[in-house]
Amino acid sequence: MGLLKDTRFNHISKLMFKWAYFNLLLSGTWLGPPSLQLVGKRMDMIKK
Amino acid sequence: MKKLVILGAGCGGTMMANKMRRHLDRNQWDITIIDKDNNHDYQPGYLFVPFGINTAKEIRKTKREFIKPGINFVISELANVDWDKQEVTTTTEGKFSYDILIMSTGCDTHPEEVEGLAETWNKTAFGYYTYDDCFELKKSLAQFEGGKLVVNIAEMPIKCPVAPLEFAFLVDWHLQQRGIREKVDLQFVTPLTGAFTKPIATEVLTQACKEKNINIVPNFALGAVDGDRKVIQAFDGQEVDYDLLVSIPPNFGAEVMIDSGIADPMGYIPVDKHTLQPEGHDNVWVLGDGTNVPTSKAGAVAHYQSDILEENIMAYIEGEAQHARSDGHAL
Repeated sequence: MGLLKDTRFNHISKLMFKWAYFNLLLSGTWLGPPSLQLVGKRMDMIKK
Repeated sequence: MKKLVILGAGCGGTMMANKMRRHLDRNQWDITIIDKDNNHDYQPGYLFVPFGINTAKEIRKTKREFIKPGINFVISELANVDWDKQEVTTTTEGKFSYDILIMSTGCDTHPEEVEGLAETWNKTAFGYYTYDDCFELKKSLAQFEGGKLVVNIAEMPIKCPVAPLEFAFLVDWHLQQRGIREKVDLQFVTPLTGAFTKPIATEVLTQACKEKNINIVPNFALGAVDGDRKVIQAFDGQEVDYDLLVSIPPNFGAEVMIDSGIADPMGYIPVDKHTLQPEGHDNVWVLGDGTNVPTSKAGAVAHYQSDILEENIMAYIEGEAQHARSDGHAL
């Protein structure tokens, strides 16, 4: 399952993010280490 | 009592206020957050309003309900920010001195920056980057029965760079649901060289546009909008006509930052892209859409920047070395 795929799951996940925004993000809740932002990214391809 | 002042109670400012309140002793640190109003909009929800997926109640809440106890919330416009005097002036609530300043004042859309766009705004040209605009677009889209629908990005940078493409895809779906997709020529007119800013994503998204019969017009630097002729004009003379224009106008940082002499001509505050601090001011940090950092203007970026600031501000207070570095990535 790719983040760039046009899927119902991706669409529903986007809609569900609203809950996380209001309940976790704004309160400053710890959501994982800074390295999380690189998970699943092909950094080797970006460097090329 | 020491003072931490935070400018902007949007996504970045609210996160920082709540994080810092957790760390700082209430008997030693006073935290004040200042914003011009009490509306906290879930900005990603604007995108879904024109299609009836999100309602007003779902995307607009009050700022106060997300600001934790022990944080002073001041509602007033900013009049001036003086880093040398370590002082912030508001239009109605007086001055606030600070020991530490966190700035998260964001950016906004400015149709008036494109010749002819403001004159045709909410007539034949619409947007979805503000609370009011997305509801106006919803009304217009409901009345649209066919013709040429143009989604146009005036210039970069913009908030949430992928949102215009998402909008185009949602329009494609919406028109199919209404059974009028074949009556609509859907065009995506962009100043970029392709569908998106990054090459891998561009390849995938270009293919997706092709499959959805969305015609991409690249390298279009918007110069003017002629509302009478229903035409958008590029600086190089190229023209694209439309029946319904969905425009993403130029984005600018807060004007008060320009007036305070601390921002570039577009209102963005110059900071070190890794430490998010302006040069020569070691007690000031800036995060979110209001910086000149070359990364996406998005809540996810502000979230990761807030982690960097949290760690480095605590190190600064405790007199330790600041090791955290922002690299601009988001989810």
